[in-house]
Amino acid sequence: MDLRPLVLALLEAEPLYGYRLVQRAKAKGALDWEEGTVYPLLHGLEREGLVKAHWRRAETGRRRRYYELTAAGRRRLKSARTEWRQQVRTVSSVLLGGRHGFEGAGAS
Amino acid sequence: MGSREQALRSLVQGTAAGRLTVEQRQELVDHLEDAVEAKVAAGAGELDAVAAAFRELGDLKAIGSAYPRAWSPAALTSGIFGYAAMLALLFFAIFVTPRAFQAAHGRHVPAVLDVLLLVGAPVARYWLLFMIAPLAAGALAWRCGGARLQRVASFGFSAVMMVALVAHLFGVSVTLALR
Repeated sequence: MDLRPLVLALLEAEPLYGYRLVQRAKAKGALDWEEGTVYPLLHGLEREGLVKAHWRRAETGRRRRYYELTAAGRRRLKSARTEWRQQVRTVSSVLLGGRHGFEGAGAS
Repeated sequence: MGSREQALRSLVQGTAAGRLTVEQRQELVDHLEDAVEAKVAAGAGELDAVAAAFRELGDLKAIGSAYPRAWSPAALTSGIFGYAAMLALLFFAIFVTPRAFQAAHGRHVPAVLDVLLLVGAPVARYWLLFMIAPLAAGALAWRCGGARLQRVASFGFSAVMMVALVAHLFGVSVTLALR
């Protein structure tokens, strides 16, 4: 599973550092990942220009590396959402035969 | 630096892979420190908290090898072009420029040409330093710097060397043509 759109979505509301990001993901309840995998992912996203990082003091007073979405990251997130809606529609339509109430999922 | 942070740093350094930069290792240590602190605050013993934090972080070797390549292809290519331009400048400064100076000897040439001919002089004079310094700086940026520093260093070096080479070649060509 490609976790990059999830990471982009978690960073959408505010810049976060790695540990906080993992906590947010866990709070959503659905993600069962090894925490350390988020860092290579974040560095990959940074290299692609989808997030930018800077060191600053966290609420604990320690310096942490914060990640925030770039304009390109927001565009990628938007297109990932569109693709996801399309996939959900397609799979639901095949799997559930159109009796599932997902027909309008892409409209929102 | 606290003793716990130091211990975590040593553990990460010992396990996580030498290929990680200082910044990447620091980030993993910070993560472990936050995790241990949260667990201790929740009532866990410190050793248990450290063990649990490492377990939840995952296999450090696997994490280390999952990072993207330390140099982006664009920065690497740019660095190679810059180095090639520097070698070309060195070649011209040693083997061609003296002929241009000979050609200009006793003749009136515009001052700007003198300046352009002298662009390669430091490279020819300190050639060993010029050969080694960019490689050392590249290794340092790879080891310690983030992606942005690598890009800026590589593109900056490349741009300076390209401009210097073009300017020098222009100066040499015009001086020889005036002969």
